[in-house]
Amino acid sequence: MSTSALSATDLEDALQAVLKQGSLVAEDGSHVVDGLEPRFIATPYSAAELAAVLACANEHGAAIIPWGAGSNMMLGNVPERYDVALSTARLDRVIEYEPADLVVTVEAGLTLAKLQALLNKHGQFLPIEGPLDATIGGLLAVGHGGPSQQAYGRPRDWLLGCRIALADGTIVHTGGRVVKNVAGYDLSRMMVGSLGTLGVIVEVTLKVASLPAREELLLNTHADKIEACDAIRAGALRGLALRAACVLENKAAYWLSGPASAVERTRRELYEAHDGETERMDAEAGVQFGGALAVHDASDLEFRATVPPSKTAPTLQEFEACSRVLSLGIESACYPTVGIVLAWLSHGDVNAYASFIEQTRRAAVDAGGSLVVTRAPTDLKARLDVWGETSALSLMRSLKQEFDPKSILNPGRYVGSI
Amino acid sequence: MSSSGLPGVAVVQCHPDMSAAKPDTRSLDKGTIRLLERAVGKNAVLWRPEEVLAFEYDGTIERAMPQAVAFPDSAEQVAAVVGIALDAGLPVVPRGAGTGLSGGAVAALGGVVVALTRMKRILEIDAEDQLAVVEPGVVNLDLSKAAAPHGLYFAPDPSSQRACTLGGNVAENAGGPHCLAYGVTTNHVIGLEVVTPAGDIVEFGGRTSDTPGYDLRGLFVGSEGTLGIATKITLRLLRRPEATRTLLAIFDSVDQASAAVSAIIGGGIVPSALEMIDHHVISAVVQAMDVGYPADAGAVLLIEVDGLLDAVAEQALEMRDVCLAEGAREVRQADEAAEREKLWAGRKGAISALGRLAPNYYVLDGVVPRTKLPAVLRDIYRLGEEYGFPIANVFHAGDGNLHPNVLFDERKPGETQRVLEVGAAIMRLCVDAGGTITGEHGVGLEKRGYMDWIFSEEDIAAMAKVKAAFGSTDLYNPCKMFPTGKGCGEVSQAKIEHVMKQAGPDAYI
Ligand SMILES: Cc1cc2nc3c(=O)[nH]c(=O)nc-3n(C[C@H](O)[C@H](O)[C@H](O)COP(=O)(O)OP(=O)(O)OC[C@H]3O[C@@H](n4cnc5c(N)ncnc54)[C@H](O)[C@@H]3O)c2cc1C
Ligand SMILES: Cc1cc2nc3c(=O)[nH]c(=O)nc-3n(C[C@H](O)[C@H](O)[C@H](O)COP(=O)(O)OP(=O)(O)OC[C@H]3O[C@@H](n4cnc5c(N)ncnc54)[C@H](O)[C@@H]3O)c2cc1C
Repeated sequence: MSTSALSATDLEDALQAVLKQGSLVAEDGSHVVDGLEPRFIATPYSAAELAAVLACANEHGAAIIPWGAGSNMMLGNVPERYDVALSTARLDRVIEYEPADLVVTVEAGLTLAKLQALLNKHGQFLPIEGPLDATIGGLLAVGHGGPSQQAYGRPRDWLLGCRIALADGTIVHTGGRVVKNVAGYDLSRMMVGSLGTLGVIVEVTLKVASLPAREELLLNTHADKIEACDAIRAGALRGLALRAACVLENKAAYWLSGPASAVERTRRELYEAHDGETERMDAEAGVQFGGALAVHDASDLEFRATVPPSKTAPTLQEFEACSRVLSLGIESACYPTVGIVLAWLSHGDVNAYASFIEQTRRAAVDAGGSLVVTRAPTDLKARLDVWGETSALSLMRSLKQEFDPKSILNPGRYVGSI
Repeated sequence: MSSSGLPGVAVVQCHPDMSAAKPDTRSLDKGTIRLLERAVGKNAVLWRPEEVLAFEYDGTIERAMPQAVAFPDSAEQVAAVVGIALDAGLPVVPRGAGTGLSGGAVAALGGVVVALTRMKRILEIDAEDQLAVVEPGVVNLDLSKAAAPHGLYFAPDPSSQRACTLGGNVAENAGGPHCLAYGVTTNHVIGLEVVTPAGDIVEFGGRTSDTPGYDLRGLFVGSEGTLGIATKITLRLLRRPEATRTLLAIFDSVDQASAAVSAIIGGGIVPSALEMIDHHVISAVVQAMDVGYPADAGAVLLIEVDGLLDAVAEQALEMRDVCLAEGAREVRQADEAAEREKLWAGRKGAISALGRLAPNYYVLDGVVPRTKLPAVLRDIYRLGEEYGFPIANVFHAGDGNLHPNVLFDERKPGETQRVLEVGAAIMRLCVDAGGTITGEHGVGLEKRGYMDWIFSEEDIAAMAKVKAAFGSTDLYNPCKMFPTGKGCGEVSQAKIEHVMKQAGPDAYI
């Protein structure tokens, strides 16, 4: 279903002309976004072919949704139009990898699992979490910081350069293949978190890290979540060797990581500072750590609040109080050292969810942060902006206008319905 | 027109004709001066030629006279000044401390310099959330000093940190020795208040690291004063590490030292700093101060690790072993602050010590993949011999960020021209090795001509889209970063000579 007036056969003919045989198929229900189905799914074999699809769509005013693994298509406002799902699945080559430089260049459709497997062979890894089938392009297009950002920063900090197919079909490159570079505007950073609304990332050059010598997981049980938050913040203040720290239920989960001696010292201190129950797990469990947080299929709505770290516990308390008032089920996880609260809601109706988001968003904004609804039923999305208010929106609109004047890329899904 | 001697390569420089024709912009009338004075105060506008003279240069060779310098004291005043200048058809040039090394703050086509030095208040230090909110004119080191009582510091530490402003750091995305482990300026800026070229006061980012929407913060950092003026900056502060160890690894040759750099980086430890100082620089340093560097060494590496006490001891040992395995003749270790300071003094004073070797030196800034360091350094020395200049290298080796210093004497006829030529040839080496033309000093006026070595026309057109989206025009810090610009001519040999004679040795730092 699409709202654009263009003729399906014209578009199909034009797309067939630029794509290899078999690269264009009709929608089969696998690429639905917020209830909307595209007409076609295009899976080009090369960046040039992908760019040609964009040029063609741009000419026809056809709306494109770039598609990585499709693991995060719940994120975003309801699309305004949707004609073609443009998959990067076949752009999955490793272009260049020089382990001694800790730099790798890959196509954007390569999965996180494949990249990590390659890097791991050389004792290296990319410190960005995500589902293993997620594509590198998709991860960067979403671009928010995961659990390890405490130690490793955000996804944007690992992107050295990229090639981007713009809406009109030109391919541009930005940045470079060296770890320090200030030549020209930082268009790589502009792409991170832009949700595929300014162009399609076709190739990326990433900085990678060496695998830490030692990793393990430690779970300390506390009286309640707030006590767990406080304990984590105290540990971080002492500069302990932590890759991430998270509060789950009434447990403080620590992901210890670093040189063996630093990890031992950290474990010792965390034991000593704690008089409740403690559980220790190996590194393998640590790798699963991020994954465990994301599975909350029974919930209707998922959101992420980002606040100054010291406001994590109060924000969480506010959320829970609000859910009680509205009789909603809430589950949550938070990262007190980086100020992220993730929460999952259930047992409510659209009205209750909408007023919950309105109230909690105000609390997050008052605390100096923001709240993004990362998954919600379509009827709820129709009632609210999943991103919340954004400063400098008119500048963002100008940027969109410059890069995608016909608004063919993910129309309507981004902040301010860009 | 100055030709670099390389096929198809010109050292394009932008400079108004200082002797005759007026720049391609309107001149400053009395009415505009009055408007500026009304906006920022009578004492906060300079316009007499003898007053604005001090603002005609930054740390580079280039210079050009602005028509006025205004010193606003608030975002509103900045917006007013920008509006008055643009309305009068005059270029706007933001300026911090003027320590820039690519000509970014030079008023290439004249116009109004917006000097941010009055806006130097530290508005907030939030120890709990480890952030600071500052005005753009705050000097880099002053922030770390103010944060010290809380056990915090600002990580990017350009060697110019006693003088350069945080606004200038943001505009250039400045780095420094300790950016290897902790990242350059962009990794530490979380929010900005910016006066756009259209005069709007807008906020990018905020007090948290992720905010919804395009990363305008990330786009602005490193935009070299071409997208607006930062009037408030929210920065991340880091906690002082529990322990720090500094090593001085002494090698007989630059080759061995650069192989050790590759081995350290490839081996998986990220030191907080990894700097190389070659024999030319060592000889200058030992003449200038007593820091204990051996005068006969081919190169030394200054290596620092920090973190938990237990870990740094372990890592220092590992580094030592790597260096010895790569042929270091000796590795010294400093644990106490005073000893460490002494080792660092040689690095920090290196540039000024170069004055002992030659009357002038020209600092370059290029980056290569770390595995290419040995080969590229060899080629740099070879080029120095070909052109007849000693080239002294003191640089951020861990990042592959080279700073070759071409030593010369401007009084010798034709030297300046050949210096620029060898500079271009070195930049070309970096690019050919898979690197880039600037790691931290920016493109500015100086390297505009090299942009098309690394970017296609389409790439640059995409950057122009950003500039347009921000409402920035040809009058907004003109002749910077983009390879072409209306009215931005090329410098003749005679003009460069003239300028350098006026500028004197200090201008090349
Ligand atoms: C355990 C777990 C941890 C997670 N951690 C993180 C994290 O740390 N950081 C994070 O950002 N997300 C994280 N996520 C969220 C999510 O999984 C990722 O955003 C997701 O991996 C995106 O990859 P994908 O290939 O599935 O993208 P898709 O779902 O296919 O696409 C996501 C969005 O990006 C656009 N897009 C996709 N590919 C491109 C491209 N090449 N160019 C331009 N736009 C494109 C799409 O149009 C879409 O809007 C996590 C999820 C889980 C389950
Ligand atoms: C001895 C010496 C050592 C140096 N070492 C290093 C080093 O280790 N690492 C490094 O990265 N650099 C180094 N530099 C270069 C220089 O110090 C940095 O680029 C610094 O960030 C410039 O700051 P400034 O305040 O002097 O800016 P200026 O030189 O005044 O301006 C630089 C640019 O920033 C723009 N600008 C200034 N303020 C603002 C603002 N508020 N908003 C928008 N734009 C603005 C100007 O228009 C100009 O384009 C060194 C310079 C010297 C002289």
